[in-house]
Amino acid sequence: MKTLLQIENLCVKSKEKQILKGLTLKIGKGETHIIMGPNGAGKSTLLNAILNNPAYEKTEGKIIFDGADITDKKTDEIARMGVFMSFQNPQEIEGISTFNFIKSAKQKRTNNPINYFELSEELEENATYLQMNQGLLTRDLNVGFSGGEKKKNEILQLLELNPKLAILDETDSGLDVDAINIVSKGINAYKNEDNAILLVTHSSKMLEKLKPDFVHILVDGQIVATGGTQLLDEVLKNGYKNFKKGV
Amino acid sequence: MAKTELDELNTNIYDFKKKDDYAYKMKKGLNANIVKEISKQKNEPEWMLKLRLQALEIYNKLSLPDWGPDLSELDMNNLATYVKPKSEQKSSWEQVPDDIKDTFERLGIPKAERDYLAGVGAQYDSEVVYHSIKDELIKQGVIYTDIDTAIKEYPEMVKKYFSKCVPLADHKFIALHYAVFSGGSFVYVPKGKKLEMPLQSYYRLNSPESGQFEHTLIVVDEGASLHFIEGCSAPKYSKINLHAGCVELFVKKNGYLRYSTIENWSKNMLNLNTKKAIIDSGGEVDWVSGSFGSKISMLYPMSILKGDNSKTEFTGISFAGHGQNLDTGFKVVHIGKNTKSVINSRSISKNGGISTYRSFVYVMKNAQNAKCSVSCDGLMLDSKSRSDTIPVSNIQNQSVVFSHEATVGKISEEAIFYLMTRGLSEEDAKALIVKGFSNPVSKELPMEYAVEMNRLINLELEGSIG
Amino acid sequence: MQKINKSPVLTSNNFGINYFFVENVFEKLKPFKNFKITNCDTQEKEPENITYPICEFSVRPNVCKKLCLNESTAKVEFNLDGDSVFNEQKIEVKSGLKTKIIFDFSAQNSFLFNKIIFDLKEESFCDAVFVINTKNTNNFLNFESVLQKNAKLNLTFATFSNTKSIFNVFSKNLGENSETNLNTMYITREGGKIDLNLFVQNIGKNTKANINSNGALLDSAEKSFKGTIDFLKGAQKSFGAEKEYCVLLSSGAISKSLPMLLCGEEDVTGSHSSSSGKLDENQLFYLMSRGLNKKEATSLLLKAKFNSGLKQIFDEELKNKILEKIDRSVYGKSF
Repeated sequence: MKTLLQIENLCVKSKEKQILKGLTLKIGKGETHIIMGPNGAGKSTLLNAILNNPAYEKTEGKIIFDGADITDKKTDEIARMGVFMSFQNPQEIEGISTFNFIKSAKQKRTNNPINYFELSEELEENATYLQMNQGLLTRDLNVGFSGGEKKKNEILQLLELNPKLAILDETDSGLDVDAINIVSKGINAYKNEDNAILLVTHSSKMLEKLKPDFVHILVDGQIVATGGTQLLDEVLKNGYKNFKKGV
Repeated sequence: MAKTELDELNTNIYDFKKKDDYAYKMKKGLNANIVKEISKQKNEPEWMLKLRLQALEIYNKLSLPDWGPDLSELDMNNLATYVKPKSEQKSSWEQVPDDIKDTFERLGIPKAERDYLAGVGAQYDSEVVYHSIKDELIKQGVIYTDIDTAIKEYPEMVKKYFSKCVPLADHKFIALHYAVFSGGSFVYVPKGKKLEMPLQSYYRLNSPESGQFEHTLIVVDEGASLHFIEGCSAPKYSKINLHAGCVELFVKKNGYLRYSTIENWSKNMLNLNTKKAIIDSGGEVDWVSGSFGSKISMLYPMSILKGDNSKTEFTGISFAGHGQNLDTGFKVVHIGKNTKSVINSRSISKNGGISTYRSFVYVMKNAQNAKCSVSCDGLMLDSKSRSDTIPVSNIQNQSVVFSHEATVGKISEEAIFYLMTRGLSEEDAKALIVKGFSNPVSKELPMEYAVEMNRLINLELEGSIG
Repeated sequence: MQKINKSPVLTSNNFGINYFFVENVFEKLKPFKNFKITNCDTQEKEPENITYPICEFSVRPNVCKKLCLNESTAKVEFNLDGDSVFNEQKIEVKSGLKTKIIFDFSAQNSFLFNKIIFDLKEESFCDAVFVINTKNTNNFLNFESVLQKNAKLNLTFATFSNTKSIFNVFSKNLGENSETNLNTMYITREGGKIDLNLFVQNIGKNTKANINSNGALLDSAEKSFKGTIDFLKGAQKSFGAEKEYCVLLSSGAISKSLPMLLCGEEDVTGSHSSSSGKLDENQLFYLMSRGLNKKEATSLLLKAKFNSGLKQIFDEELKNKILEKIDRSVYGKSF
């Protein structure tokens, strides 16, 4: 089947406020989708809703992933089915090292025991590829990491867990030019014909490196425009004011 | 055994909730004759008997504390019969609660240890282990023996230090302790000797009691260094439900002592333990403490920073589950100049457990440049439980730098969500976070203890204990 | 001697923080009518007995007034000289009303006991500022408030004393979304003793409690601070934060502190932080390197520490009075 993710008429509420008001989206294998929009439009809400974050309530609509209805499934089930989210503000979890955490998360996806030494080598390679300080692997997960280090750690997890669908929430925010290049490199290394990417971003730098297939403009809880690179150029040049008019 | 007058009186039924009746009963349960018998049985010198009798007098005069958890269910009825020498102190396996037996299974405790821990075995068969270690220690000039032996073989040393750190009149249960104490360790580390291997309290416990009233006395001489580990994560069961032990630590100039404890008394126990350390100049005492079991706990280890440049650190975690009231904390007194204390305490409450953290920091008038930082965090796993923080400080010197921070709350939902997006189930995510919360303590313990402690936390979270 | 200002949770008596002890001065009281109340309606009321949390005995004020606030800033002023006064004010803040009130108490060679009960109805908001300036006067201020749904209370105290100064504040955030913000500033000198017992209870959902106490001790002054934030079961999504700071400006000063967090509800955020000791040497040095002498730098740093309370003082004249008192204490002049 070519379609990986299908969202139909999704309506989502958070803290009594209606944020998504009927959103429909289709993502196929091998595709890179970008979501852009003004602040408060609902971009983060959409990503969190796909993973069924209990802080967000779905009032209508369906989400189908790889043929299965995941609308009401538990977050960890959805994750084990092959959806990965890279957070804008990754949590600091003390008491477990980055290495051990990745090992546990990988173990959840396969029934075979993970070989410590193989994993160790693999992680070191990937960390080097992402120009990450090796010391971060033995430190507690994200604890005391700088913004850039946290984001790279998310991409490291992306490469290790190798999901079918990668959802990236403003992976570029707070990063300098070099870091954006490295993170883009990592995402491109993950990309292939069988998986897909859904990225929320504001920055043009990252878009240059990632070459999106589809660009969606999200305004006030709905997708108001979908297009290719032309749409992207339009937004980067003129902002969102033209898209807000119709809503 | 012929019934004595004492036993007749004790067969009446009193209401323990009434403090007056309760005090009367306690008084009745214990008298000078019993104390004399204990001393005689142990063949103690005159000075020790005198001390015991003095303590008994003080015990009768002091009243119960008017703060903290309700202690009225203390079963003092059996105390007198229990502490009497030659009395039947062992339990039988039938009496041991199921959850204790189950925990032994889950924690993988070997059969030989189980007998000892359940108060069923006459001797814990660590004799062999103990003896081989003993020879090694003797070579290094280290004394490690039980307190009864120490009183006879090293009387001058014991007399010099015994009860000088924790005074007889400290509080009612210490007075009780000094009247009836039995068993415990005595350790002396000579000048300059740095012991590589930690000493563990259960190496040398070869008495039938389960250590209810044991007295531990440790002296670390100048420049020496020791790591002492007390207890283990296996639950200890006993017929009598009071544990009123005492630990006295003396650290001389530039000495170092790390005192690690994991306490997991069975869920019917009242754990009223007193531990104090007196630290001379340049000395340091680090406390590492994990409190899991017992129904009621009142545990406030204390460091007295007597000498200039002395230091102390306390890292502790307590886990109060269903039916438990754990009232724990730490006390420190800064006396010398340039002293430093760091207190880091965490508590977890679950399923109706009550966790109370109390601390006392006292910086005296002449404690120039004292530095003290206290942090305590409470984690609540549901709304049936309680987490209270009651930290007192008394600062009398203006050059001090003192800060205290505390937080209370639940596991962050964002953290749970983050871990679930990596495929961990909600239970696994919570367990990971709780273990991470306990990490400051587990990382200070030797590996096998840390592993045991983590297994214990898992069991607590599953609710399979109690 | 009588025990008053009982701690909400008792600790070991050795710590000396469970109670404050006073001689029995209540017999010497006489009625006092010499106070000014402006910009609000007043009525005489029947005084009631006062018991916990202040005293272990029963006391009854001898004058009681009920105040009905309106949109203007009400003002209650006392000026005592050689008097012994025991007063009570019951203050009602009507539903939906946003208002302010100033209490300006000055006293010398006197005894002052004042009880205030604040009743904040739904959606009301009150900004209350107390300035208490005493010399050779023992004063006891007891303050109780109950907040209904969406009500908000800002209570700011500034107190300067050289004898016994006792405060007991007990506020209940009863209704959903209600909020109590307590700010205290104090400078105590000579043999003065200040005892603060501040208690905010979060009862309703989404309630907020903030306790912020900043002070300085001179000469042989002594301070005892008991701050309690109590989260009752059911107070979901509530917030409580306590901050306490006390600087000891002389070798004879004593600072005792008990910042408590009591929690019976898991879905809350509670925190407290407390620090005592000397002024930050780096900050002092920085200011002195810009040309300020030590006293000027100390005064500036104190004002900076008191800022969270100072910015709540909406009356400029009053604020300047307080700033001046800070200067006078640092420079060793009497208040």
